[in-house]
Amino acid sequence: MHSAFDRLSSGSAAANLCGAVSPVAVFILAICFAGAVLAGAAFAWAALRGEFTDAEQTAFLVFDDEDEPAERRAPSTRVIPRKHAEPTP
Amino acid sequence: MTTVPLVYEDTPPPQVAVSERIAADRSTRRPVLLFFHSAVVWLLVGSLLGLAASLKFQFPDWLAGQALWTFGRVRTAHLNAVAYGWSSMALVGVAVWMIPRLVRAPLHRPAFATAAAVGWNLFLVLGIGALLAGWTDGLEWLEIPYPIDAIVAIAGGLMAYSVLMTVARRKTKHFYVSVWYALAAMVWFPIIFVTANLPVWGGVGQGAVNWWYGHNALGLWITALSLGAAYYLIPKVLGRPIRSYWLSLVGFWALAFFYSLNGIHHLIGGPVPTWLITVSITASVMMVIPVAATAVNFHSTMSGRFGALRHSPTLAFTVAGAMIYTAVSLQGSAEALRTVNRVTHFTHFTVGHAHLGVYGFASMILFGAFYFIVPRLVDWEWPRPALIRWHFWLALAGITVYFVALTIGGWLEGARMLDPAVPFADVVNVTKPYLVARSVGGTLMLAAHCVFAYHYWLMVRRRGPERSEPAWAEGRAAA
Repeated sequence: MHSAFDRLSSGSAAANLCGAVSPVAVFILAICFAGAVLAGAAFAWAALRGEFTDAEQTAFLVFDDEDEPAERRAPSTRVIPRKHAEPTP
Repeated sequence: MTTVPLVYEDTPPPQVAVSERIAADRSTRRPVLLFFHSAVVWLLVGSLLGLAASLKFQFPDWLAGQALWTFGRVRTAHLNAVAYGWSSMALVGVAVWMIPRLVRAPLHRPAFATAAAVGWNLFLVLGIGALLAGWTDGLEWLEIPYPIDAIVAIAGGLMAYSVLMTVARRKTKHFYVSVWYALAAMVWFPIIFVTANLPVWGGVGQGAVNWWYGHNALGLWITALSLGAAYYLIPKVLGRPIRSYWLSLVGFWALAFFYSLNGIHHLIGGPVPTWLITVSITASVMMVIPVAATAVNFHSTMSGRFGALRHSPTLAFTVAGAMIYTAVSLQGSAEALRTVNRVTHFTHFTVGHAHLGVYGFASMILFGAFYFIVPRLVDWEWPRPALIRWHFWLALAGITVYFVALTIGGWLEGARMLDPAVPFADVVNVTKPYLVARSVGGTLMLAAHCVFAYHYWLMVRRRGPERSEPAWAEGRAAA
């Protein structure tokens, strides 16, 4: 009993290639390759819009949602007062 | 000491930051609480089912009179309850809470996210009910019948729409690395879930697609969202940024480019083209790159601040989870090698590895996230800090006992299975003490979850003593 995927992939030149190397192997490689292409496109988009030009400063974005925002300071001297929060060691 | 104010284009004025944070929290409160309540319930259900399955190794006749409670159904229900109920719902809750804060925009159409939580629960109730009733697709991680899967596909679509539109309306120019991880997970998971559930696969191909999905569900969904949470929580609690933001990006993009081929290493020795398995093993070993980048980054961020672990439940759980992430990932890369896999395949070793990943890594980070987020959601401090200590140590002891026992027992089991002179009954017998330890570990974890669920219930009901300072904060000045 053949699966629907096997039936769809039979009877064509492309199917001969699939048959030689296993259709599922071709499918898995194709979808992984598509995923890598998608990741590459996202990377290129991010690079073109300057996402990586100021990376170390982007690390400070995590502090922009402080409960009571402190003035942005050098890391070693940061003070983050919070009412309902973890203690700052 | 003079301080150096840093000027940054994304930095809002303080009063704006507060108003935006309040708007973000207000928009996410209802859906996040619904995701969190549901996750805690599924954690308890999943833990009970897991312990019941484990006890059947010691008492095989226990609850064997009805098909509903046989090992095959109970164990499958356990996997789905913890993977799609506890882990996924909690991780989505964390992402839905975190992203609006990080992009400084309220959640777009919160009702969609709330509807997603309702749909997700419907999927789980019907799906786990179907599994216990004996209706299954028969594929690991894809057992829930595909007509029911359609419900979670719709729910996930609603949730992803809400999150993606929130990001589209962001007020920040840059994405923090946690946003990258969460966004990628929201794109990856629907693709792999829908593809793997298409009713067109059969035979060997179905097995290959099954494990392509199974491993990617861990790496591109649970791992991605968990790391995103850790990259948020550790700097936040320490009050210092991640040591190298560049390294965090290296870790993310390496995962994005190389992870998706990993799953086929589960079929080593199976009727799949050898070259395809070799490609998968190569990709699995390449995972050392993002893992090392993440491990070095977390460790150097924590460097000199490990004393803070005593004064922050969030940090204690999250750092434990991050350390276990390094261990389980390196173990996974080694396990993908043929020389190792020929021993560990089809043994309890793999079960120990899977639990170290989903529990030791992801769940520990999730517990840390709960201890950080829930006080902000309900505006109430955790009323009984001692219960957090019980939760932490019971969970850590539970997973340690569980993992060590199954690792040793699984290796002995595999070594004996390779020896044709050893009768199979002897192979089974050698695992018996380790399976008892597995049940002990499971019991400890269930106890931890009961403590956690009770404390969570106190929190959301605002019961117990009202406290004015965060849990474990006492004595922090000396730390």
